[in-house]
Amino acid sequence: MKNIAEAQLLDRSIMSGDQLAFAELVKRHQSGLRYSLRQLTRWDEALADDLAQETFIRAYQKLHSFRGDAKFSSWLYRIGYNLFLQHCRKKQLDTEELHDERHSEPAPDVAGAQDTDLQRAIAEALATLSPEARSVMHLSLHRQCTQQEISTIMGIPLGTVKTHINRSKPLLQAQLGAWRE
Amino acid sequence: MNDKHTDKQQLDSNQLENLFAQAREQQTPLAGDEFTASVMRRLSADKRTAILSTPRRAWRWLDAVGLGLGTAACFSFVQPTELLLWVSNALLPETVVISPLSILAATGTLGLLAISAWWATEGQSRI
Repeated sequence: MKNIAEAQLLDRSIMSGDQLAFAELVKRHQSGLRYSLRQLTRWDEALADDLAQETFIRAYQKLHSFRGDAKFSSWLYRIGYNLFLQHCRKKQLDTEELHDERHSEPAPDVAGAQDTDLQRAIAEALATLSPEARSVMHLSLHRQCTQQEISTIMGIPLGTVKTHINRSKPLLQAQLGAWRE
Repeated sequence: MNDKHTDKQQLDSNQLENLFAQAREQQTPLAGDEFTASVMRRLSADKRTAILSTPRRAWRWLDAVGLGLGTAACFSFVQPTELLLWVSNALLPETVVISPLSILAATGTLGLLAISAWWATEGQSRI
């Protein structure tokens, strides 16, 4: 199963509901998705993993609607980001509320203190932005997606993407000023 | 490696991109079998997705058997030519009247069909 091409795995999952083929897709894409969701959820590992699981389940249910005109990973991220935004709306988690909730939590158990500091600092800085702006900046700076790709993944107009980037970049530059070389 | 200063400073655009690049390089792979297993357990437990995992391919021959039996039963009661005549009489009217009402009805039906098709396509593409 490890040597099978992604297109073939997708065919098998879509045509015959082959769960083994889908499990291989989960193995291949989980790391990127889980990492992205951790960065968006202020490094809340449990919440990020819950959202990632839900993303894969939704993806399996909607596999028949995957038309292959975008990369499978982009399609997956789109579902993940939509779930993240839904979660934020549902819980009405504005940035202040998030800050109050998580401020006293202990540092997560991730290898390498310096690495963890940087990852957490970025997640903290992103958390000061609105959920939509956070997703845009993550896709732009971390995933290195083009503005057009971000627009496609998030299903928002290109102009909105540009606005988010123009407004959020100075905020992140100020937030992460302590990490200046 | 970056040094963390305590004073408030601002990064420039390149420094911000470099910082994210550094975080990207430090990203440890999060691929765990336990995560995959829990997704698959949830898929199996979910009624909607469990149906998809059943080997439907094995039962497809029943469709062909049903089609054969149905066709045989149909033609055992009615002659093929009679059946064709009956179907054509039912489908094709003897007289066609083109009135404003019929044009309106046809346009409305076509419009409804087009809207339904568009709605179905949009529903499929929406995630």
